[in-house]
Amino acid sequence: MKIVTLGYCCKKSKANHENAVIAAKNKGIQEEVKNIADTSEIVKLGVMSTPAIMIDGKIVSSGRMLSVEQVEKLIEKYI
Amino acid sequence: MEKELIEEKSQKSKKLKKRWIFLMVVAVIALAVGIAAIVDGVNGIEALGSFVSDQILGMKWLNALVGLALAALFGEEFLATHWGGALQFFLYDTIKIIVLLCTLIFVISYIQSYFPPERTKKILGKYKGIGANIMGALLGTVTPFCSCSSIPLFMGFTRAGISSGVTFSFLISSPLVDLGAFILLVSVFGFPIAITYVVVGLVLAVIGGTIIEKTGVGKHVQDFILEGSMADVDAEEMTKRERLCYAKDQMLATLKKVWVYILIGVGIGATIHNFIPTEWVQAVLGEDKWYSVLIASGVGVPMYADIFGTIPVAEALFFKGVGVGTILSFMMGVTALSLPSMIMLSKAVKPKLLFSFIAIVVAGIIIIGYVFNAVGFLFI
Repeated sequence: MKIVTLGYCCKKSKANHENAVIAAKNKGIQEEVKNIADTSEIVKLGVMSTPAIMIDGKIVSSGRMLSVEQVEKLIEKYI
Repeated sequence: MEKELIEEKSQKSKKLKKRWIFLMVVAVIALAVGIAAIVDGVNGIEALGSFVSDQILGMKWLNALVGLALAALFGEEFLATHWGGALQFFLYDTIKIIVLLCTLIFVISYIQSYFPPERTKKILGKYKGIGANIMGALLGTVTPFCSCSSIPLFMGFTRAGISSGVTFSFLISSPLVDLGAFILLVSVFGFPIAITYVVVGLVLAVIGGTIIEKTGVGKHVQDFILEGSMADVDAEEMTKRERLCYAKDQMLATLKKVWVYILIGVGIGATIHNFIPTEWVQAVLGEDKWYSVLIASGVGVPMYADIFGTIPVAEALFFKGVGVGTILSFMMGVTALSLPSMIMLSKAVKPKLLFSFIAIVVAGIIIIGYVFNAVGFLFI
């Protein structure tokens, strides 16, 4: 399972990425949680509001900072 | 097959239920207005309007309560002094604004969760001409975005083929007009001024955007904005629980972010309200002074504050007899243009467009100020 967080410009996006890393670890996901910070790349993916999270190439959340539990729930849903 | 049918039915009944709730709310409001009209004609409706704006939204009763509490604690004499008055204004305004802010941000965020930028972009793509500008201005009031996400928003809109005029209508109305500002304005100035503020703000957004497009300066965006493609994604539909959770998070985040501005704003407001002589304020910002609007805009534009922090200052100026137009210019200047958002925007557009944008908004704000000072007597 590939998890990518989008956005790294503001506090919210950073916290979002950190929460995703912790959630992935808690769920025993081996693959590294990647981050895309480049705005142009983010827009190319169709996202206009960060923080966003992409799981296996699908945007599952955007414009919201998620807590560790919320990311865990998303992982369960798309596993 | 059967399962699907049942699901469809339950969805239909849910929709029906929602419609019923909506109708009930409308009926209750209509009933209240109707009773008011029967009892006392037009006066009755006016009385109802001022009851809502003074007591429910304006919490005048809270002011009286704070006054009583202070009088009981420190005696009547203290309350009559400058310090007593300032303390009363400070306590009353801080409590009022924080209560209103929490309720409002919660409700607004819930509504906003239906309009993520991705969806706004899709809706806007369907409109053409002036209709698109109006939609842009309207959606600007309900789409959540911080200065941090103005670049992706700009890119997304442009790549989706939305014209520069519509994008700028959106960008102008977004910080200027929102539901929260509207309700707060009602609580301080009453319905007529609040409604006018919103209408004028939207008109400024539509005209400003149109000028930017028609004069051709709208093309001067940075090259990287235009390069590359953009995928269309359907954002996951949120459940009701997620929306409530989102609204709660937004409320706490906003409160954390703006409480300092509110305290500063209320502090300045209390100072103006109680320590600065009315003649001084009148001498600089008085209705009969032709330069009052220019001063208000000049001070307001470089300042960066949340609309919630601006209102107590406006409130105090209003009590000192400053013209409505001057106050509107000040508030619009503070909220519409700010240094951080200009810096973000300067990364996405070329200087020529940035300066045209600033010039148009400032000109609009000044014109609004003069027009309202000229016809302000209609509102008070």
